[in-house]
Amino acid sequence: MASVGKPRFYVNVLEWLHTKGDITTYTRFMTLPVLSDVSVNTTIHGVGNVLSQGKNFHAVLNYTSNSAFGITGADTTDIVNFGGEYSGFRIATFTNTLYTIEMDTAGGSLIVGTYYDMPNPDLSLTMSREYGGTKETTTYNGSYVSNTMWSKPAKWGNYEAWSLGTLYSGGSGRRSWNLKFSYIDHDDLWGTDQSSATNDSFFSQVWHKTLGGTLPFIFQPDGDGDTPDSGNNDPDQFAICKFKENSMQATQSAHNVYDISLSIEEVW
Amino acid sequence: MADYNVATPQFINPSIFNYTMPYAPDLKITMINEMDGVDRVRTRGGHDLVNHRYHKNPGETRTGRRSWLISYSYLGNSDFDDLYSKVIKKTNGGQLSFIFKPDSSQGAYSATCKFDMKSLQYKQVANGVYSVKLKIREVW
Repeated sequence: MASVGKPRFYVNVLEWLHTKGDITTYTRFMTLPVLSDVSVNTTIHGVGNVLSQGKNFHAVLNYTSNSAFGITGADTTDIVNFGGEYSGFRIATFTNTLYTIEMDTAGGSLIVGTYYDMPNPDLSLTMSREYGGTKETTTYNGSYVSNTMWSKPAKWGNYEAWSLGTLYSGGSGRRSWNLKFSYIDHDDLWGTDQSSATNDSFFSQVWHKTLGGTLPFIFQPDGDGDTPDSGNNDPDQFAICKFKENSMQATQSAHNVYDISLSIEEVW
Repeated sequence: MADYNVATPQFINPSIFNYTMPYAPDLKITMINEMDGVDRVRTRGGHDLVNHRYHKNPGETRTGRRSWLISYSYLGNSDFDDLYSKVIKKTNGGQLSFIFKPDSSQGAYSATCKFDMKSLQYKQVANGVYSVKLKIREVW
């Protein structure tokens, strides 16, 4: 696992709106499960003003190389899998404000949403890969047997999760990160309006839109931040994750200044 | 503005009590946003399944349930008596809900809460000086 820089959270807006009952959409627009069927979908969704902050993205998981990829009215810039050369997945960002989403995209999971860049975390961070899906037993005659229920994310159709053609064949284990951020300003953490989806804060952009981390998001430990190409956009740098705990705890270290710890875990 | 930030906490139950703590609590206040209405299950194959029973106060659009853990290390005798007689006693030890404003100067930011402590524990740290911890949890 590479180092953590400016962590970036990609949040699926359609899944959030669907889960809280504002729109009704299809499994294909959820982050998980990633479907095997990769047919094109052109459904139109109204999303209000949630894509008005200039930090939007479009991602396709279980993507077939050179297949349809795009959203009407969005000038996308690929940050991985440029031009859709490889099969596996594709992620692009765009700044256009869209009030309706009309995709012309093919893939197993068609994601549109917003991203949020955190500041650099403290150095005392922990990264791990867990292989807890294996049960090991020593038999009566001393033989050693094991049963592996899982050792890596489920495949996306014919491809390993996060694989990218011949460039990367996918990883194993379940990744997790424990990050701590100190001295975050109140408005950056909680924002000025916690019921808003457009406030530029961690609460509004990540916690609120993932329903407290219970909806999956794409996590990139070292994103670009405000400087394009400054992060690590290698294919092994992305993971579908949730927050481990069902609560977000922040400690007020001074007036309007907070410390917060986040435990992020890969899911499938 | 700051609807989690704690400065001078205010406890209100209209027509029964309205009490503002005389000064701010210790630093290291903990604010929690909790998703207690969500059940998670991890299957044998490692997949995560989630059931959202509720994810917010039905009267609001904000996600989650808010809580505050605040402590006062050096609360004077009269201040402690006021807290007890004006708030703790009149909420039946925390059974009755009240309106909590983490910062009394931010009038618009409040939550309907209860105390989330099985008992009010206070320590005498000097003659006539007490330390007390309060856990305040949003209810609906």
